[in-house]
Amino acid sequence: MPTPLLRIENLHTEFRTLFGVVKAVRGISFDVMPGETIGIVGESGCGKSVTGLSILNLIPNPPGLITDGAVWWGQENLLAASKRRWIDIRGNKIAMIFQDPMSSLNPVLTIRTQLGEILQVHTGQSSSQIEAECIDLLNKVRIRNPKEVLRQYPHQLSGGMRQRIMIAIAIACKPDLIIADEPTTSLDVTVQAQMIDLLREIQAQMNTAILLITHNLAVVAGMCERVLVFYAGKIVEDAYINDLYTQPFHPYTQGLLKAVPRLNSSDQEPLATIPGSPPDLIAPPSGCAFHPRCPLAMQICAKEEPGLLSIKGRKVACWFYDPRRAGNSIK
Amino acid sequence: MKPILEVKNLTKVFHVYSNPFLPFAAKAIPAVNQVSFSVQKGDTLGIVGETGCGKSTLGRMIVKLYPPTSGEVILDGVPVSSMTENEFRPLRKKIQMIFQDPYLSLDPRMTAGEIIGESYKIHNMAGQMKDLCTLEAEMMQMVGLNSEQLNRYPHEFSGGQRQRIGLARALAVGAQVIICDEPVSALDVSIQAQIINLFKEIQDRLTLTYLFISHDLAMVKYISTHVAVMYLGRIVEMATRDELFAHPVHPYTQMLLQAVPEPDPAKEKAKKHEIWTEIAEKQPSPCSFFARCKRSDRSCHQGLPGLHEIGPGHQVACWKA
Repeated sequence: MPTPLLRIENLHTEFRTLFGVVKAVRGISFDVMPGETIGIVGESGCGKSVTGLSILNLIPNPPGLITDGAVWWGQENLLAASKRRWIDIRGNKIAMIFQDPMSSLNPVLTIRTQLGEILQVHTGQSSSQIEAECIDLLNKVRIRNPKEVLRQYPHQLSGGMRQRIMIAIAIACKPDLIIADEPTTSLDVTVQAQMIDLLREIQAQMNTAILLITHNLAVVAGMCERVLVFYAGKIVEDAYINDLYTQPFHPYTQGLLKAVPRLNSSDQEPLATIPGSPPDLIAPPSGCAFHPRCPLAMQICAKEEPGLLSIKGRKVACWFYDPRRAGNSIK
Repeated sequence: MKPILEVKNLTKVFHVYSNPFLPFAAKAIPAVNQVSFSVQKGDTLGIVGETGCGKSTLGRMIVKLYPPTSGEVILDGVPVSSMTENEFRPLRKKIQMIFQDPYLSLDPRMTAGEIIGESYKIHNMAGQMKDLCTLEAEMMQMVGLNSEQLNRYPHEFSGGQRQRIGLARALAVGAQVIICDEPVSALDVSIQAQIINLFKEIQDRLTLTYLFISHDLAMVKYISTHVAVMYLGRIVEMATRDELFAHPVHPYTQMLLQAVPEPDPAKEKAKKHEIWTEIAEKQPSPCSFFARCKRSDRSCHQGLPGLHEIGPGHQVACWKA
């Protein structure tokens, strides 16, 4: 079996706020193989972005704190890495594309400065080499007049162009892993389609692993091989994409897939909904966090937490599929 | 049948002043340009388009939050655009708006009850305090909230619940037309479905008319009876929902529809998007989509393509159609 590029073990991240401790990530484990595209989906506040930030150790402390777990990069636990080592990793080995291209570029620096900075730090090339490399990168992300764009400031570019710059910065040092946190959420559908094509193309060329964090199940369908469904800071289902979309196991995944209207159906039936609202992570529900909203909830669901169970080539955290549930009928 | 809402040649030009001390504007941006349509009672007109195409400006002009540069809005047979604010106030009961961001559109210092009852009081519809309380409770129940929650403040509600309060506020004065400006785009998927179902249910119960502004084509397809596609301030295609999604004619509509991702991996993986971007070298043409259009030819230079009928209720603004 090939060794995973990144292994996350039992990650716990908390935020200490005035109202109490928000347990944003409550024990997450998964592997990322080289060249693999993994989608992380879930609603807001399910811990998907916090997981991405925790991998890169970008959680602001205070209030945030990684309380337990390990992030293995090869043989090295990144959570124990020194500041010096992090400079070597961030942007170089693991890069990140942030959600909002408006606020993640520095408005007072030109594109040349921002794109050149990462090359300068990690490669130490001369200024003219960097200039050439920048133009090459902008060509790669399909920006038409790279020389001109290099001298411009972020406000002179459209949202789609800025996101292309973000992607250029992310791929500048040919990282092994790109964490893309909602890369298309604030964009129009047409621009979104272009970004998906671009990311797919870059991945085919560079064989980078991508961790795509999004709430849009349709975007995941077009890009990923494997999907992790997050709910209340935990993975509830981990499956290959075709399995997940044709036969979702976890009741939450089933609900999510049914709740989106489809373009190719002219159904006028009311949309299937998931009743209730996402849980409060200061005091998450006992047992399975989904049980108050779950149509399949049993007595055991409120008492004990389901573990991630491997069945039929996927993992699902639900008592319904657990052989030990015998004697517990659906309420 | 007389339409409940009619819009005729509505135009809004925003002036951008580069120098605040000069009396003339550097640029005039026509955000909405000669838009006309009509909506029958009980129908839902979905308005779709990219960011900056003028769909929100259009909605705001209809409820008179922006004065139009030219054109007319006719509400239930009465032209309202030229009215003064005092003249329009009694009619404003009929037309209400629900905003995109449920965190910004409710006053944080007012309770849910006060928010719902405020417009009722402004319109002098409240007889006695007792009636007002009953009404508030009734509205809360109608939108699926508990009447005990009347004394809570907006921050105590979730996003979905706040959007329910927004709907209750619009319904409290007996609105017949509701302009929904991206009402669910700030909400989570599971909550979106709850709110959209509520919108539909209440529409059926009260025969409401919606103008549903959104960039989510699947959602528009789900809720609308008619759809208008906007591009750079103009309507480029308008038809009944089934017709538009089954036979899109305008190249822009076709491009938009194929760009929408679907939650179906087999289809999505095989899909090669065809997105046209602006070609700057192209000669300018009166058609606003010309610079992006790959199907354009010499016939596109003959003038501005107006909306013309190509089938029953199907209008397109394209020379090639």
